[in-house]
Amino acid sequence: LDRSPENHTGHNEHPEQGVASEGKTWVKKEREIKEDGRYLIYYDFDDEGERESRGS
Amino acid sequence: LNQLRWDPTLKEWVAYATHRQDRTFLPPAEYCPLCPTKPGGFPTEVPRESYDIVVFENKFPSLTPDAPEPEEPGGPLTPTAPGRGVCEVVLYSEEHAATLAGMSERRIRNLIEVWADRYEELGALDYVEYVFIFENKGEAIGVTLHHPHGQIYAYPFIPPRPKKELQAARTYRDENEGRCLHCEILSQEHEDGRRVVAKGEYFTAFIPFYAHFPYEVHVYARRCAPSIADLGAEERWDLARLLKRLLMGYDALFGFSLPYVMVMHQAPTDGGNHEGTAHFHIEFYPPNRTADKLKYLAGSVTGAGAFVVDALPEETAWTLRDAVESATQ
Repeated sequence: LDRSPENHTGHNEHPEQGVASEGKTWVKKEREIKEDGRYLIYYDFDDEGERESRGS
Repeated sequence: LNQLRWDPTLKEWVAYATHRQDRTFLPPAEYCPLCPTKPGGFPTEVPRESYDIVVFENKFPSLTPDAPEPEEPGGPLTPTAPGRGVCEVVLYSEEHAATLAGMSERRIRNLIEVWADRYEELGALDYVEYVFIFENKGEAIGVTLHHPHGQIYAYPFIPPRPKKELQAARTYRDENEGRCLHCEILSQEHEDGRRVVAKGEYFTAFIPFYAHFPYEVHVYARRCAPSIADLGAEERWDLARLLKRLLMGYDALFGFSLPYVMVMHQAPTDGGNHEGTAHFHIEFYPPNRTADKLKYLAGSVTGAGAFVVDALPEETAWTLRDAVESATQ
């Protein structure tokens, strides 16, 4: 059988953030917790006029 | 409650999430839970009055980080496990009626940045083995909310289809002096050319020789990059431009916003070495075989797993390539 989740050994290895993600463009990444405990993350980009021009 | 049950006949997990029966179903636009919360208006999922791109935990998740041990113990043949994972919603834009096809290349590039960040952040969780990024678009696909959004499932296992694909790539690599199966497929498509729909500098969109849907398109990275997070800045821009062209072509194909399922296949986050077997690519499966006829996954596909397709990829690629060219001139 496949390894079941409870037997997962937790061996993930990932590049440090910012190394693999070359060229990140957001100016702000803001995390909030909602009343029911779920998280919400705002990614804000510094794209002048983008909000006005989107959909065009 | 979220739980997994093992199917020993197909050797795969099935996720159960009974609370999903209560999820919001096609609300009118003025009650869209994915729009920003307007002053004096009803509270949506996003408290702010305006946003660029937002990610949040799905209110009706198929998997949750704190899933308890299932009350149903299962048996030796059919074990159960907590449905532990993360389900996120990615809001592409605050504009309710927008679609990915209509967004600017810059916004799509920004979205790629967010996808890459989610891949890294969710993949770093010790119980997550596969970060699956996807979008269901259109009522024909069964969407329950029209606001432009995609989803991410962070699974505690490698799901069956990517697993089968990775196993095929590993076998090919072992039998062919370490060569990447996906690189070879791409090379074959470039050499033939008939099924190529659009090309960028770093990505190619084509209808594969073995497509399961008439207008199924795969978008392959030319370089053998294992995941979206491994793409460089120029590659991300190129992917944004190519996706924009492809999606405009899809919408021009029959003269309406084409429904589709979009999925990303990439390296699992299980700690294994997937260099040379995982090759980042995006797959699109539109259900339409003509403007007014859908392909239903009936007997042969659902019961036998054997696809029967009504049109040859060489012919549909010609039509779609024409639509892409006319839409982007």
